[in-house]
Amino acid sequence: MTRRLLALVLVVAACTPPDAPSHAGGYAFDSDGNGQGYIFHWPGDRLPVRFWVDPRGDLRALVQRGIDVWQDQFVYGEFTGTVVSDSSHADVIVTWADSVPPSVPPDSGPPVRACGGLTQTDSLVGNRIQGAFHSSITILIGGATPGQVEACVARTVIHELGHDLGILNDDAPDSTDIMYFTPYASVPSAADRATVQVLYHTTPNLLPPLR
Amino acid sequence: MILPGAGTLRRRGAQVAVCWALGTAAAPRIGAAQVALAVSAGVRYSTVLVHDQIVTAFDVRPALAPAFSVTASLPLDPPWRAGAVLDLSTSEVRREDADGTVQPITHLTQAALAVGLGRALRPWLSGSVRVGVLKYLPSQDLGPFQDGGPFFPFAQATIDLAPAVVSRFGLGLELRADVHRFITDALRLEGFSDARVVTRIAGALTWTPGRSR
Repeated sequence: MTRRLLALVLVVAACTPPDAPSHAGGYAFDSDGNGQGYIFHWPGDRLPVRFWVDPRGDLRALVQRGIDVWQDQFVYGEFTGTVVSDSSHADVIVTWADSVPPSVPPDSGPPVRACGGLTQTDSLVGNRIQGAFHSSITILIGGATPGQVEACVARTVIHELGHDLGILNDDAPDSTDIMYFTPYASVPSAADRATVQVLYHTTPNLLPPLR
Repeated sequence: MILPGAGTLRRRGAQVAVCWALGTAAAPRIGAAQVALAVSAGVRYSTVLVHDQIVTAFDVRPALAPAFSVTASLPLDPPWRAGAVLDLSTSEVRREDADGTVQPITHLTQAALAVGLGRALRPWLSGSVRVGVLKYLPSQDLGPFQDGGPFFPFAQATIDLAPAVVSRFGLGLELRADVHRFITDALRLEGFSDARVVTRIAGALTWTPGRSR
């Protein structure tokens, strides 16, 4: 009798489905940062998102790393990206705004604001984005070392790619978030991860540009 | 309590293990000529690998997959046979949302190797039980498989039908069901703590060369 009961308990335990984890903890991803603005993410039939990258310096490698980092935030393949060689068929174009820094190993010390970034689209017609997303990286004039500049560019590329994915504001609340207004973190935080996961399961009100 | 015959079964199990470990060449009493090979082709259904909810609920599972296998079997004392099977199936693994949309994640090949015992139940019906190891081989390290494809132990039961109308050509039908507990490092990182019981069911047409009746 005891063995039968034990066997029954084992069978029930084996068949109990595991609980789904919480995906809470994210921040607002719409353009207004309050849940009332534009919502955008790349739909499944537009994957992989095609990135064209300025061939100067090591921007291509940094963008590829940024794509990999964001892909790893998704457990169910919601986003994938690839670097393409033809800018006329790109969904996202990433360039240096002006000067190109030397390619050196990134500084591992405290983050220094030695660069900036900007992401924008051409225009909006109705609820459809027109043209590719454009992300540019600016090197700031200052006393930063080349290694500090490199580390800043690496962080900023991931931050701008976050905008390209659909986080349309700079309202991440914590400086540990890669989408904080000035990115000091080197990788997405748990809040960044939860935010893009929820974004990619939310119905958007903006459509991607036509190919 | 040890049931009558259990000791015999244990000895046969040990014999099987030794034979398979050393190969048929090291088991001269059985003889390589008695090893029967069978191949099969069919289709495999898999239950849900992951169930989650982000805004809305969804499932992740492999699509219906073509499945192929090669089975080697050795006769023991009638009606028992020992067998080993190498099994492959390949399809995309996809996310199935509650609204009916389906989104491919990546392509997935499942390879399994199992060993076990079988016996004839009727002249046209036999069954077997096996244990083995299942390996998931994603085409990209992506989604639930972003840390690669893990190994899983599994248990399997099969039923082989060989009605006279087809067995004369060495053909038969096989129904194969196995069960394993699925979880990956990426899912653990996401917050899953318990593995999910996954059942795979395959139906296949089998052919045993040289065994036409």
